[in-house]
Amino acid sequence: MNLEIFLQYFINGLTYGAIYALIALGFSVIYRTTEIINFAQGEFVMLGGMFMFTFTKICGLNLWLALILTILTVSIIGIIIQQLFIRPAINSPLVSIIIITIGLSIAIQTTAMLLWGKNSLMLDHFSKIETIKITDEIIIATQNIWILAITIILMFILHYFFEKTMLGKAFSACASNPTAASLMGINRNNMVLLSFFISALLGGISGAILCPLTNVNYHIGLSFGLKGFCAAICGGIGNNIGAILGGFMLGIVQEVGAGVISSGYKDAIAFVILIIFLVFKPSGILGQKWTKRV
Amino acid sequence: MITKKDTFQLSFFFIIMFFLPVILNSFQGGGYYIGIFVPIGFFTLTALGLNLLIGFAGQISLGHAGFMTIGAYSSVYICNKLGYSALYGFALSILLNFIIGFLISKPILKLKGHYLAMATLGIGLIIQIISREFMYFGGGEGISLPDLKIFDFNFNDFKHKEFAYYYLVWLLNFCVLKLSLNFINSKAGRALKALHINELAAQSLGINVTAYKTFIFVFSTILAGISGSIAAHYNSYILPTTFDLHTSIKLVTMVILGGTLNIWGTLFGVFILMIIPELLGKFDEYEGIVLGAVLIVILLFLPDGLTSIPKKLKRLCFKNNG
Amino acid sequence: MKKILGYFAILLMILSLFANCAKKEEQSAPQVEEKIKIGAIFAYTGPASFLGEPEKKTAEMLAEKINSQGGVLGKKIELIVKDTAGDPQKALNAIKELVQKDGVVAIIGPTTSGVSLAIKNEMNNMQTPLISCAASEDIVVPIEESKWIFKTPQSDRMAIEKIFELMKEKKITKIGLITADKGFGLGGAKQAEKLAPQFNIQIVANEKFSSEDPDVNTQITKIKSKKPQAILCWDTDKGSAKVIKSIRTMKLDVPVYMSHGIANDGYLMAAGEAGNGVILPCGRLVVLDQLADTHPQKALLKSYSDEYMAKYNEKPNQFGGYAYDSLMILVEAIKKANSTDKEQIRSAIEQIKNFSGTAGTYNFSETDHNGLDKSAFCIVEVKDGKWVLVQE
Repeated sequence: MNLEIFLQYFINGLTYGAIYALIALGFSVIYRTTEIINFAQGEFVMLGGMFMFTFTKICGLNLWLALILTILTVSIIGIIIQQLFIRPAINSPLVSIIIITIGLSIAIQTTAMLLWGKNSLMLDHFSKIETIKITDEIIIATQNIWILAITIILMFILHYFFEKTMLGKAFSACASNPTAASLMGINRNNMVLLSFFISALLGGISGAILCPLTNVNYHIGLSFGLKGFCAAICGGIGNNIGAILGGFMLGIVQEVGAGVISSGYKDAIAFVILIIFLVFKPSGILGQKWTKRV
Repeated sequence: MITKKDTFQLSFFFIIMFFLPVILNSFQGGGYYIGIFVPIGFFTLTALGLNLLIGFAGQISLGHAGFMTIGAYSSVYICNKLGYSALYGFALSILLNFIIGFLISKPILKLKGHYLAMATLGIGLIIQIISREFMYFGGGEGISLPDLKIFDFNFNDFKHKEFAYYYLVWLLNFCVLKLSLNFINSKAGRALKALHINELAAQSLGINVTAYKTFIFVFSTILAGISGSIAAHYNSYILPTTFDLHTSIKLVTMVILGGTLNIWGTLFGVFILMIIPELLGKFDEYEGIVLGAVLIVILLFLPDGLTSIPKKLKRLCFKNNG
Repeated sequence: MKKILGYFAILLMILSLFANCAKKEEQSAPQVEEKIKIGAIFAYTGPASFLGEPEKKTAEMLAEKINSQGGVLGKKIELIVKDTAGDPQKALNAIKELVQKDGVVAIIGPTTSGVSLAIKNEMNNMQTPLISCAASEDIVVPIEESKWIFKTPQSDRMAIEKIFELMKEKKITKIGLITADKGFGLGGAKQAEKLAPQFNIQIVANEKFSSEDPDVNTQITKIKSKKPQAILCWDTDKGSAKVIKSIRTMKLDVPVYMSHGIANDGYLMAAGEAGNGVILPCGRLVVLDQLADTHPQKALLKSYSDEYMAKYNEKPNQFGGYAYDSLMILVEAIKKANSTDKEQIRSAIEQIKNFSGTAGTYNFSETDHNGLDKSAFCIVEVKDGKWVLVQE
């Protein structure tokens, strides 16, 4: 095994790791306040890519302005979805909620298909220089660097938000003990709303920064959502740092595995890891002792 | 044992299903209408097992399409590759699903809720990917199956092959229904109902929870396998994508739509979900939105499934009168 | 329980009597048929909808045109279009509905190779002609299993032979193969593996990707490490755009050859600048205005293109062209057979010779249910985001 080729796989994996980490964080944030898993999470990624396309290519806006608008639009969609569909269902049985979010995912996909059409859409890379050649074998796309940088910055912002701001602390309080938090005057509904806002925002950003590298079409969401969910479980569901670690681990193992073993089994690798974790360490990498949650 | 009411419903069901094709056949294009009930039939077979799993064992599986795939490819192996009778195909399908179901039930049934959903989803996807990568079985291009022959009876020679498949699949469904009803009304079944409500309590009553869970899980995988085999023969072609994640989701949705604690509800759920797309043909591209909306609305307003409508109506009337 | 069984027996007798009476009445009723019903199944929703949509539009446009010109055999045709969404189960339901309920004389479509293969047996069982719009050669080969199946697109075997000829001219002997893991891509991979030895070409890497992979950087990295002299990529436009983007990102500077499945502006849009430099064999519709005026296909292609533009205000593509050919061939066969009997239509299609379509000149026979040869291809290169004719 050539070391340089291995490094190249690793770099590819790092990019996806970052994206999976962002999606896993989104899962984790929602799970902490509501204990539900939003199967429509992947659709936020797709919407992120789609709105980025609309704002940069159709409206011709500046890159950063478009990015901010994309994030805002997707977050607002997240809030609307929470208010309309998740809030009334919050006390339904678990399987019902799973099916409701899957129903949402189907509906969002079809709407996107009607709005943006069925073709793959192309976005411009953030930088004019698209690739950096390190050696003959190792090539880094500048977009990879953007993705990593933005992911890391976002993680620091989130960390600051949860640990240092009043709102973030209230959120954490609500997540760890809803009853106590509500006695302290924290409105749980608002916190659930906030969690959907953050999660849609993370999904939207990951779509907006990833899709220049790939392409965007209306059905890319589901696979990202599932991988993100895998990452969240591997990292320990509900644990933010775990979600990040899980995301990077999954991305890297998947790409390196696909390169070394066989590209046909790429998706299988991710799910085999998931099952290994579920069987041997369901609490994930960083999870404490597994607390029973139904 | 099985109650009188159940016996009555079962006989009623039997009569209806027995004569349905005869009546349908009197219409123009009867074969097509009977043909609709064959897929409904084999999805019912899987859904019945899934209903026991979700409703009575309190577990969820988003991977049953994977077990259908195993069943389908067992039949391919026996009938296409080895050239033996289809019965051996069914036997292999049952055996394989028994072994695989049993082996994986041990670790994964310890899981709960989303963890279990995700584990079963992963298993379903892995089965699908393996069947795609296995070039011996045609890989992603799929593979064809010879006619279904049981002893000397060739199902495809039959003038309307839908008839033969219809009776095969619904006879099986009838047997499974009878078995399920017997089971639900037995001591074990009542124990499982208790299990669904409160696992700890059931355990403390001396009910071997793990054994029942495993039993039901394996039973449901076997049903999925048989259903996959029949489906493969009926379609005479199988692709790794024939039974994919969407099929698994559809199956769970069928069970939930019908109401989880009601075995008849499952039949209703399967029927609704299979008929809606036929009707939705006219919505063309909007189909996804309508389907999604229907799912959300039903689950939001009728969390106990469609079979809870009469109860709800009763309550409503009661309110108005009182 | 015994009582119930007794009731069963009685009911059974009564009902079967009733049903039999009903059936006799139905049979004795004369069937009035004023229209010729033709079925069409396309994937106009779902992942392959970018192919299925132009096919549906073309077929509907053409049916309208034929009817406005007086129809076929003095009867109007009625086109019944069903969606498959690329799902084999849906397609199976659709063909059964079309044949058994609607009583169509033949079916055109489906869009994708996978679905065509999946419904092949069933069409043979129902003894109804099918003219597929999908490319994989396995749809009509072996001929014994394809009695009722025809197809209009140029087959992947011929396309790959054409590409290998080009490679041989350029003295390329080592290639990397990357294909989709679905029907069309796998068919291509199979043909390439089979044909490569004949052209002294060695496939040094053979990678697959799924439509769910967001990019194929890892596969390209692997291919790159095997140092091929050229890349052969086999998929339709969405997947191929993904591949070419990864090839450019990974700076794999070798000639890239692709399939006729990308010959549609969707590819140019999705690949952008990265898509330049790709060479492919394809039908002549994409390079219509570069064709010499004397070219035998030009007039037909132009009329199709103009009509489509006028009706839908967008450019047609070759996939629509396949549907055009399918329907035209079917209509020609009905005229030739002078009947709407399925068996006669089927044998009439086999008799069609020198029939000029959008994809090429069709010469069907009892052993050739595709009817095209290598002359149906021209060689096209993508330059500056446009299709440029290299070899007519």
